[in-house]
Amino acid sequence: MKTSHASGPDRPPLLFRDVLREELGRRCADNSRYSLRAFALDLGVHHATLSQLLSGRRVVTEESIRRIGAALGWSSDRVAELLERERLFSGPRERDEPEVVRLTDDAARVMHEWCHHAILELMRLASFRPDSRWIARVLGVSTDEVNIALSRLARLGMLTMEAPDRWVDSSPDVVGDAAFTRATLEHLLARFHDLHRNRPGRERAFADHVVMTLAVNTARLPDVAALIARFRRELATLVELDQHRDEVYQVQLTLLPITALTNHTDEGDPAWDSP
Amino acid sequence: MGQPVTHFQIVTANPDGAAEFYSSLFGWTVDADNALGYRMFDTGSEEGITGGVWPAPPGAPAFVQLFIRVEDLDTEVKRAESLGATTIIPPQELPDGDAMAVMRDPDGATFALTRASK
Repeated sequence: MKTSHASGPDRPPLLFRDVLREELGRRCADNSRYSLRAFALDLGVHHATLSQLLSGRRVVTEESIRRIGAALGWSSDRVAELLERERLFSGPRERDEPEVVRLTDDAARVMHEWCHHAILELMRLASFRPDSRWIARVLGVSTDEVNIALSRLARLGMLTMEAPDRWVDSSPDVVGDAAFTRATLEHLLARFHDLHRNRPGRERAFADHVVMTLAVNTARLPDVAALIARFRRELATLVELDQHRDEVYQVQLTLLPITALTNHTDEGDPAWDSP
Repeated sequence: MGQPVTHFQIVTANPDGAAEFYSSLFGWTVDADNALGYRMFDTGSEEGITGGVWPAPPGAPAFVQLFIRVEDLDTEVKRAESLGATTIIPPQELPDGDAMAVMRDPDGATFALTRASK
């Protein structure tokens, strides 16, 4: 986002570098021999630094405003006003745009990739261990995937490592009734513990986890529900083919609305009934 | 006492590949037996600084970060911000006892400030 520096009604107020530009312009108008170098000399800064400040290639810091403000004889109120304007209106600078893009991407991924919410939910468990390897094992993902998710959550301020053994969920309550409820995770955790207990050297059990987020036409939901019902029957029929069975697995199918863009209600709607 | 550069970190979408490459090239060994599963290089030398590899999301470009050890992490983060840096990850107390914050300098390069275990 670029910030307009023009002043006037409904426009952002003048920022520090605009004020400097105006001051330089005024002095040049008063004295045809006055230059940027002379202005820098008067302000007590290097002319290259001043040039970068005026062109926007150098970040305006609090120290810059205080130091140059003192050289220009500004009152403490004037300095405070410009500091506040800079804080409120300078906006993301061009150099910050990749940061904004990345944070937006981070936020989108946190919303749509189950691993992030799963980590935050895991942190609620009494048995939680702040250990990427443990989290990876419990969730059935790689340690790298956990660490990428942890980086994202920390960048977004949704997770804080307050102490070596205490991680805090500092996210807003956006998880709500997402697929990974606490109870489900407690259950999954117990299952994984059972799976790995007393079985050294055993190969990792087959596991598959797919979360699909789809835009749908709500009129199609009864068909979706019917398809899920058919899948359940076929799956049951398939495993019934084997007389001898040696493990217990769990299949979860969750169909939940993520948005509420229409007046659709789930009350009494056959699409949401267990098929 | 100073505020030394103590560590380098390669951030890459292919952390296994990076660990393998540098190990093959320089004979370094990699140890990831720690709470974050962090791939720590052992260069086999007393000289130089330590290093490691951290995963980046698929498709992200690889880059190297320098870690600078400071005495007072919170104070140095604020000081860096006052000089034009941006905080990417605010101070975190890592499982191994160290603390770390990741910053972006005014020209866009990222670096980390760390505080050794208390």
